[in-house]
Amino acid sequence: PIIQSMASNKRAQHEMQAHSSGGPPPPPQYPDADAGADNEEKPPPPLRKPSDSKFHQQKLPAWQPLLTARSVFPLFFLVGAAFVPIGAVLFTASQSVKEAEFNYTNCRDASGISCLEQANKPDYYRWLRPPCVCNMSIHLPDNLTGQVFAYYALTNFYQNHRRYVKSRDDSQLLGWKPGSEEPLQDCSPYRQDPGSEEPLQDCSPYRQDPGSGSWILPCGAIANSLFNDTFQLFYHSPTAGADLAVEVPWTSRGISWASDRERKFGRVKNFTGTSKPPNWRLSPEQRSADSFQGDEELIVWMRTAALPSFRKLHRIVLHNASSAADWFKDGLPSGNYTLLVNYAYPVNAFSGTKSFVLTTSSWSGGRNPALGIIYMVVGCLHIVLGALFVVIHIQASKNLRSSNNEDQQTIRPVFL
Amino acid sequence: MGNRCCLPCRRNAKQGPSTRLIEANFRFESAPDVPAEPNPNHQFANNYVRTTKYSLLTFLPLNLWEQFHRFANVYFVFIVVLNFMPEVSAFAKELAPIPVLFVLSVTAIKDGFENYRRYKSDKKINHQSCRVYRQSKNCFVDEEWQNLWPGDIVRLHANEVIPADILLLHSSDTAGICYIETSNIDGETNLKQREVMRGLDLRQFNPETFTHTVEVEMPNTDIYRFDGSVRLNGKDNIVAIHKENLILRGCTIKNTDVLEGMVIYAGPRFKRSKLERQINKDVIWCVIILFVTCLFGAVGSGVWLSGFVTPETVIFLSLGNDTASSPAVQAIINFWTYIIIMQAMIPLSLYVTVEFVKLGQTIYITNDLDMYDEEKDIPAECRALNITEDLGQIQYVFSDKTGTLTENKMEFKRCSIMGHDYEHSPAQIQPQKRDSRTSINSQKPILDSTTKKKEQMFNNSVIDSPADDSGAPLTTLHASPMSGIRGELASMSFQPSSGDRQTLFDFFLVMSVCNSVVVSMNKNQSDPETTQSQPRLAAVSNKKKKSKKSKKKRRRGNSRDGDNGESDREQPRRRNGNDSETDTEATRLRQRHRRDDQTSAAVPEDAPDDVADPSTTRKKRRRSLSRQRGGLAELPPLGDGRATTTTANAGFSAPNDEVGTPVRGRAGRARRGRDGGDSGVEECRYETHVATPNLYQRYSDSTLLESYVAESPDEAALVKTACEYGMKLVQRGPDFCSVWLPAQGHVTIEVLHVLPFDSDRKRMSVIVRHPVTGQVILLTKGADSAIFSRLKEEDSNDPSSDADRILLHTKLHLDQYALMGLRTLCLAIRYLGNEEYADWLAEFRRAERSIVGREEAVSRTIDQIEQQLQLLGVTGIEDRLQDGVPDTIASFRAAGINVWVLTGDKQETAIQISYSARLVTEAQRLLVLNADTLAQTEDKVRRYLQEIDCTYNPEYQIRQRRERPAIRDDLALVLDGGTLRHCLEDSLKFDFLFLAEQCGSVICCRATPSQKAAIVSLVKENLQMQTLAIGDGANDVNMIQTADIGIGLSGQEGMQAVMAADFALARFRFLKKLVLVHGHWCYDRLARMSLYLFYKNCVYIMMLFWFQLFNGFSGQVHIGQLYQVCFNLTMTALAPLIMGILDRHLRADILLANPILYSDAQNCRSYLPWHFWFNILDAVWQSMVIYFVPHLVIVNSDCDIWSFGDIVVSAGVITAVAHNALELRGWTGIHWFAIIGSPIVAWFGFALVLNVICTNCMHPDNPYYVIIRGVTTSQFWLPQLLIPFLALLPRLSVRAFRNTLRPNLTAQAMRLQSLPRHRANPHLPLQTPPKSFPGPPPSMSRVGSMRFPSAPALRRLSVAWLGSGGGGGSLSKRNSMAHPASQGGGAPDRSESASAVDIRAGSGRSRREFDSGSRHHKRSRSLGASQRIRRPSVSFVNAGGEGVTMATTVC
Repeated sequence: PIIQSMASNKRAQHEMQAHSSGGPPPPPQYPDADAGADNEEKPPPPLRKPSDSKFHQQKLPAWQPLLTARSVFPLFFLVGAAFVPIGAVLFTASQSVKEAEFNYTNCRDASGISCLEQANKPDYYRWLRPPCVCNMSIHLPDNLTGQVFAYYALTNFYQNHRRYVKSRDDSQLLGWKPGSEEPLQDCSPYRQDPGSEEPLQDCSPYRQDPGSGSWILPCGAIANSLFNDTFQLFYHSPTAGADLAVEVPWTSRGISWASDRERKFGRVKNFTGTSKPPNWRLSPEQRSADSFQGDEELIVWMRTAALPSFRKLHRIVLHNASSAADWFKDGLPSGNYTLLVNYAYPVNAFSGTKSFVLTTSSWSGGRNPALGIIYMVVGCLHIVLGALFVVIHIQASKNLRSSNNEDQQTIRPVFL
Repeated sequence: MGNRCCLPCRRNAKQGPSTRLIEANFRFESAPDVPAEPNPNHQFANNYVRTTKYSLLTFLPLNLWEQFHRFANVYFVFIVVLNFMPEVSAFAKELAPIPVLFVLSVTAIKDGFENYRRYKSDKKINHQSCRVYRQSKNCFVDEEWQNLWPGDIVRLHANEVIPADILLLHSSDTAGICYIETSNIDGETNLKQREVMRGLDLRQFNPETFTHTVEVEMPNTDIYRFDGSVRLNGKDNIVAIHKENLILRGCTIKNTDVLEGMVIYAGPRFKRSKLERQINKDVIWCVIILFVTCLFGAVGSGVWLSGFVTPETVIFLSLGNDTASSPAVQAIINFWTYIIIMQAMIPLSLYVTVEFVKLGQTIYITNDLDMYDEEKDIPAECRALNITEDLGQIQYVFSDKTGTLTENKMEFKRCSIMGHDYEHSPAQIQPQKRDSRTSINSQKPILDSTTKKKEQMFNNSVIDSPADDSGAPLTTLHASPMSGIRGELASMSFQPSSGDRQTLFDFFLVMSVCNSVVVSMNKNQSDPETTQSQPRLAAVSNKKKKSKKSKKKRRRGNSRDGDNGESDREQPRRRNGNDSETDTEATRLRQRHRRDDQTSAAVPEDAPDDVADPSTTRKKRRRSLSRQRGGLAELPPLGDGRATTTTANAGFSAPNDEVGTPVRGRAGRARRGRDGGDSGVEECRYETHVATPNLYQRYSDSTLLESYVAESPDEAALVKTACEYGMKLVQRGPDFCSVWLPAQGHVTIEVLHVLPFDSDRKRMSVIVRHPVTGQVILLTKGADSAIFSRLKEEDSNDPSSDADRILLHTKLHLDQYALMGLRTLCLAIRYLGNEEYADWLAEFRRAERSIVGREEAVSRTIDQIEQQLQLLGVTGIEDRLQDGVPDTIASFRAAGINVWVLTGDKQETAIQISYSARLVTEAQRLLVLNADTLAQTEDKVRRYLQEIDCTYNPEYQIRQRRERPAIRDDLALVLDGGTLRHCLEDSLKFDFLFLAEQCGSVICCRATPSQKAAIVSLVKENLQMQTLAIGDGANDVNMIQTADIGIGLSGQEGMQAVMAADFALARFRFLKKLVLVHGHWCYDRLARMSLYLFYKNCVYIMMLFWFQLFNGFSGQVHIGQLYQVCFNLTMTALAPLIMGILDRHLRADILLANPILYSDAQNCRSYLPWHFWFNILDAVWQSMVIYFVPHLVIVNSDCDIWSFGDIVVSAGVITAVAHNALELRGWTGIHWFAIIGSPIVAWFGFALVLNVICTNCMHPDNPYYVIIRGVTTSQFWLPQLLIPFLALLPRLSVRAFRNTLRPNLTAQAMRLQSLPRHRANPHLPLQTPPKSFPGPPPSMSRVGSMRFPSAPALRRLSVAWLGSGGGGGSLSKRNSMAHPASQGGGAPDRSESASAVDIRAGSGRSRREFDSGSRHHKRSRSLGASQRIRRPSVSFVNAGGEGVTMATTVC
């Protein structure tokens, strides 16, 4: 019956072909009552006959790969052969990136007071006092050739906390909302200046209406927690004598994404009726005449980091600045530097650290050997597995052969 | 307007008054000038049919209400609501509802579409027209069905469908009866008789005069009961009306020209679809995983927060007031946030995708050409959309026999009269039949010891038996041809004759009279369905013949008959294999008739011109009839010359005016009806006179044979056979029937009573008055069990009667017939004395009139008269097996599916059919379980259990299926209905089940519909097996509905089985492809897809979860909200959908040829419980890779959260799709598109567009330019390349490892099917993976069994365990021989099978056993060289290119 059903199937197909080859299929004819006997003899057309297409009959040609040792080991070797070099290249690229990180969390000011503790006081952070200025002598062991970027790095700072991440109002930053307009609910508690005496009373110079509780612009926790340490880097050139320190010229222009600058941060025309974020020392207008579009530090800060340990691009070293003469033309030379930090940002409460990072970059990004290592490891893993599967394949085909030799009947139970 | 109830209105018993009063409607018609009297009937529902669930207005609320009954939807709405709380909100408020809205709207669209389809079909029904009497026009006018109200008087014509439940008021039939076909209601295609309510003038009916009030019961659910009364106006008289007076909506009028009736109940019937079976326990696991994850996150957030000594000074904590910053509060809030962000762990997409996938699968099933019956133009039909995958897990198949395994086309084969065996027209036997015949002869089933004894006795008795009349000794069953009787019969008449001759005559009299066959002369003209189906069926059975031959025959037939219209319909009879002989015989007979007619003084009718004068014959008949009628005053008068048969067939009668008019008239009406307009009015004119054709035309044999419309095919076969031998049933009326005899011509026999057949009595009788002697005769036919117990105690002293010998011989013949697979009927007669009859009649009338317990009383009285019968003989009717049945059943057995046959037929017949259907093989020992009492049954069951040496544990039922007994394929259980009843008793059912479970096949005979259902539910519930029931008749409906999957065969017996079924097929053999191929595919696809969706959701959740470890468990996500929404809905949705609908792991021919592959699906190989956990684990690993590789890449960099999220989600999409690609089994172009396209289009394309256009949206994760910046960096791309490889490495390795070293059957098959040699030969040398054996191999020395079809698998299996020691058997290597059974044929010799019985271990089922783990096997294995397996060498003889005949030898 299988043969039969196949035969009948073929016959059906044949009939269908016959139909189709002979032009369009004849229109269905219904036996007419008045028609003669000829009509009655014809069977009624198959009105409900399914289509004989390969699609309908589930006979579409299909590639049916089966994952066996034999089909897998070439793939594994191939992947291994590709991944190990990729990993090696990545690793070298990453290693070629020179980077120097200076943790200044525990630095002390000239009088030996720990800035960390100082900054932990709220009024420090709020720039009510002159910041704790700390001087850090740092040493660059290698030349940083090429474009050098200055980052600050924070650890244990959860910029990716849910309440933090959503605590912003993009419309405000775009300048779409006039200052008097209500910011998003998400910005609370840094949404509305409560207007109370404590602890924000000292904001009064920047508050238009001390009693009323005006809207904060830009609102939200992100803006409010803007990183506010400032840095100055001086190079002690070995040729220029110990006393001469050349300030490394750098700029904050270009540290933010162009797309953010152009489309996500606008110009606020009117700050009347708004308050600055309580933690800010300066009002937005003071920070940048072109606020917020010109306030690139803010823009960078507002792009919240993915992980609790992160860096933010702070400055781009200007290698062609006239003031710096030739020293920084090819990057930062190795040697001694002094990092002058206006230390205000409190990290004590969350046991965070602050660092200042000088780094170059490569096509593969910053210095991060992880990806290269992973690539190499995975590549090797593939090669090892590929080899294992070669063995398995040989073993299996041996089994098969032996069973074939024994007339296909005595297949020994294969182990494993 | 209309009836709003969704249950059938007539069935919907309402509170309130128990009856309703209906008055004829026309009385309340508003004349233009008179204000209308309020119509009392308008409080009832009108006839507007509404199967739709919703209207435009109610759609939204009702559909939503229904959808919210689903747990998942409520859950997601809860999530949405939760998200509106600002504290916990994780999504933008606009975004959160998107998934659930999507799901709701997709479902709503689907429902709406279905609703619309229903609406359209309703509209079609509602706008059908019928004619309703309108007083204003004084005639019947066309009216749409929907406008019918109770009380309307309608006029209906032959072959019209009844628009509403109507009370029959008038019929064109003289006797006031009409015939209806109820196939739309109960699936029975036979004609049923309805009669006009008594007390009305039958001849004249004028609607105007019908002003009576009808009182009927309120609509109820019972369609087989109806009571009511009519209060006749004018007279203080109440006439009772019964169900005989009621015609239900949906019936079709047959054989009755015109009838009029009053609408009593209007309104629709509506069948509710089965409930969705969407309970998946893994979803609950998902809930648990979700809960645990959320709890973990919540606790984590609390711990994290409490790590800060002074949270208020931590500048990134924007917690606001003090209470909110307490860790506990934060933990609680975060818990709900986690619920929101991880909601996808409950696979919402699963619900949607599964719906789509099942829809797609059903479309494929419907479109399968292999399951399309060209003869009947019926494709497979999926009536239930949601259980396609269940088809892949069938473990038990319960099949009806008649009409399901067999054709349900009866052919008269044998009869035994007076102890003489006669064979009907032995002619060419078709190849397939010959095959089964040889197997029957070669088979000597170990039935029961009694059978053997009987055989012995039979042979003994044969030796000294005298030769019968035709001179042939009664030595074998190759009995004398029946043509010998023909001569006898030709000379016989109703004149009483002596002894054997009289018996012979009576035998044929019973055959032709004792039935409910109706002679329907206009059937051919007016019933397109029957005329169509018959030639088709004929063609089916002709398939085996060479097509050329049949064509030639048809042509021959045409030319001979000169009647093209008839030629096709001749086929069924011609197929009987006696065409040439019958035809010559018929000519001979006709000539003889002619001679006889000339000599006899009876009515002249031979010449066609006699037709011209019908009145003479009519009058004559009436005279004789009325003379005979005597005192039966109650019976309605026969009317003035109107006949039941109406328009004559132009094919055989010369057209005359009288006949021609109505034909033209109706054609004209039809045309005018299409034109619409005032046709109804015009019509009134002609319809007042209905032509009556000639009752006594001389019909040609072929015409007669075609005109029989029978309640059961058996009856038709009997009547037709009688007709062929000369006793022709010419007409049947309500109280008479006419037969034509060669020697006597027309004789009208008065029928006094018809005691109809029912399945309890298993017999039917008619009581007639002898036309000559006037004696009252009871003619009975029925099952042997019903007849033999009612035979007259013969006086054994009377030597002349020879009754004992006859009885003995008849019984032996009966057994032999049954052994041959024939359906047997016993015919008996009883001559009643007049007083005897009068007494009984009085009692019967009394019983009929009784109001309480009427039916019981009637059946009691019927029982009284059906006693003291005199046995006439036995008939044997063959019901041929359908094509492909043995093959299908053999495949099922090879696939590890138990096939049980539940039949209402006789035990021997059922056994025989089971042999030919290969349900039972010769190697099997039949355990016959026949007992009368419970104790006996119990004893027998216990004894059998002991005998087959299975350790019966009385705590079996308590053990709750922990251990399953091995199936012993060398056993088959046979039991009959009575025993079955005891077996289903609570005390015994577990023992019985235990026994039945171990038997390879089970055959239940004489089972009632409810018993069938009881067995199915017994297996389904107690064995917890997937069951499938297949049947074709109304008696299978219970079973079909009980089983997990019900399949209806749209065959001979109408549509009721189909209506109740989940799938409808045209032939039994299609079941093979449906189950083995589509079931397997659907299951495999759906299983893999579901697993994949679980995996996908889990990966996605875990991707989010790992991030929580680095954000203070705050519930922040790094993936943009829109991406989250789209991750499941679009980005990774297409590929699993394609996998679920299209993916095909094995070719159909491979699956069909290797049924053992089914066991993979059956045993849930694609979705075992650990698969879920394996997938979850894999998902955890993959999500770790997906998350941590980017994490390590960006750690200590200035990467922002959304760029990071882009890397992760991109890697997630690619990995998920790659995973899907790994799961795909066959790549078509569509697959390529889905796999390549969905990440490119739905992820990258979507993301790029979104990143360009979205400047200030999606707070806070504004995606503007994020990914565009991302794709320019190596940080983005390098992980994308690495992650999929690393993530899929374990899966890839494990898969390759397993496929190489422990390939399961599917993997083996997939490997083999790609080899070129298996393109032509789909039979694969599959090896059962040895891994399936836990621990030492179970002993199967006796428990193990011969599973014939899967012999190669067995062989390999056993050899595998034997090592080389057991190998070396001399086995044929021809692959084509691998599965002889599945190629449809040859039974092995018994000796061969016997040696093979001891093969150890088994097919799919056995392996399932082994898989089930902790089983103890008491028997030690006994292996040795003696168990070397020999296989029958099977050779194929290709007969004529189509038929396959097989010869079997032992090698």
